[in-house]
Amino acid sequence: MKDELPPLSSAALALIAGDADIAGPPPRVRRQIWRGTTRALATAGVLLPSAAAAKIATVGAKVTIGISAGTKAIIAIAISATVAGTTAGVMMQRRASVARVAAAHVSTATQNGRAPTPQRTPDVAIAPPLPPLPPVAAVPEVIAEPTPVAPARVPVVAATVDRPRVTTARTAGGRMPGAQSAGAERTAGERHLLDDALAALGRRDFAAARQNLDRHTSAFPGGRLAEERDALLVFVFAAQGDGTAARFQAAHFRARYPGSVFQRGVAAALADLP
Amino acid sequence: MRIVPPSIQDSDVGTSVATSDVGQSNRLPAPDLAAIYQQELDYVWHNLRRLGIPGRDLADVTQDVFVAVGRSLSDYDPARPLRPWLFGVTYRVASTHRRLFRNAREVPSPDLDPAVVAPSPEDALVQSQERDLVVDCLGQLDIKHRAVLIMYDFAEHDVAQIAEALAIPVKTVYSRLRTARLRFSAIARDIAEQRARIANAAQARHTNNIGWKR
Repeated sequence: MKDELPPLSSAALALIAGDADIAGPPPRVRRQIWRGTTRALATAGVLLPSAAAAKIATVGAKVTIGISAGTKAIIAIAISATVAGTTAGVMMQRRASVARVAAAHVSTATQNGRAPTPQRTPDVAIAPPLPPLPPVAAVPEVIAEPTPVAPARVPVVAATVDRPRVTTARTAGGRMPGAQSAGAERTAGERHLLDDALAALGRRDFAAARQNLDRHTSAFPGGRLAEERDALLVFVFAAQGDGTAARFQAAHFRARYPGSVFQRGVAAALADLP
Repeated sequence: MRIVPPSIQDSDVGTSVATSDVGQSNRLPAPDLAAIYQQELDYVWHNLRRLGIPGRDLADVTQDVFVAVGRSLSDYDPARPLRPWLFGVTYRVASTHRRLFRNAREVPSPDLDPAVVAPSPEDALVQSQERDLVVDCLGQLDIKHRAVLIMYDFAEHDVAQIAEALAIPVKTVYSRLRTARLRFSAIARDIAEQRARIANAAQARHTNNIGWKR
């Protein structure tokens, strides 16, 4: 039957050939579409694959804004290991996972200057709708953004969900009026150091990781990401196999941040220490 | 292009691959939405454009398509090629969008708009070049014929895939394809001739102006 199909005219063939050269949506639109898609699916309660990451997305409701994605990945790994109930070998698996996650983190950060997100493979899990936090309307904010640039697959950093944002007194861009201040730069500087520490941890370069964390401590003693820094310090000690230092630091962490979302991750990091 | 679903990597947290149906261990793992989005956004975008979704709605409708894909990903059999299935979703979303009353907008008629009654040949040429000629041509086909033509001649899917994606018999695909090809060829030929006439008129006018100045 295919032979009976009438041939296309040369004008039609030229049109079809020319249509193949038309560009797709620009990067900004690509990001918008992905963001809208994930929001719509999250609102509808559609749970996409990657069950472990989905668990983290649920826990992530408690994650304060400003924690870097890499650290969230560590928490994800630790919590999933705990949830799975595994005991032997969990620490090794977690270390390997941290290395992979951080390696992806490092490679993307290297490709992209200091901003790892634009080159990152998009997160997968979509969280179910979060319970409402009065008096704020409970619309989950999915961080995951796509990078529709290269087909190459990069290990996916676990997805998470931020606390629903307060919409009052914010501009359309989601920022407080006049918030483009030194505060933002300061936080960016903090994140820079913590990202470097995380990358070093992924390389198992513990000295560099400690160095970055120490620099953060001296530069930002009461910084916004101090909680994350102190948790990372536990992870570094634990990965290093220094049980004494890890436990000491963990005790300090528990006392200082009793309600921290990192608590479970810290506990999991200590679980298999000798 | 055949999209090969990524294989299961390891049991790490955060791997982007998951089996869609736990009970069906023989099935290949379904590609996740993020991977599909990365690889197939352009495919969906261009096919929506060809299906007649106007530029102002393209982003919204593309989002609708991926939301629909996310909802129905468990229905997709990874053993089958992804793109025809994706086109089926795209086609249904586009059809729904076109049917919605809220998307029906009044198109200004040239008869009522004095600004576009009599453009100069040069202006007409520029306008015709700037328009999306493919979309103009496809727009003169009804959407059923258009979908088959797009799948076969633009996206290069075979007839069996088209039949499966659009849930129609193979004979119907051939029938629609035959009609669509004839009409599309004729429309493209007309447009090409029209553009040639406009170009000739513009050239003649330009030549006359030069002669007058001399």
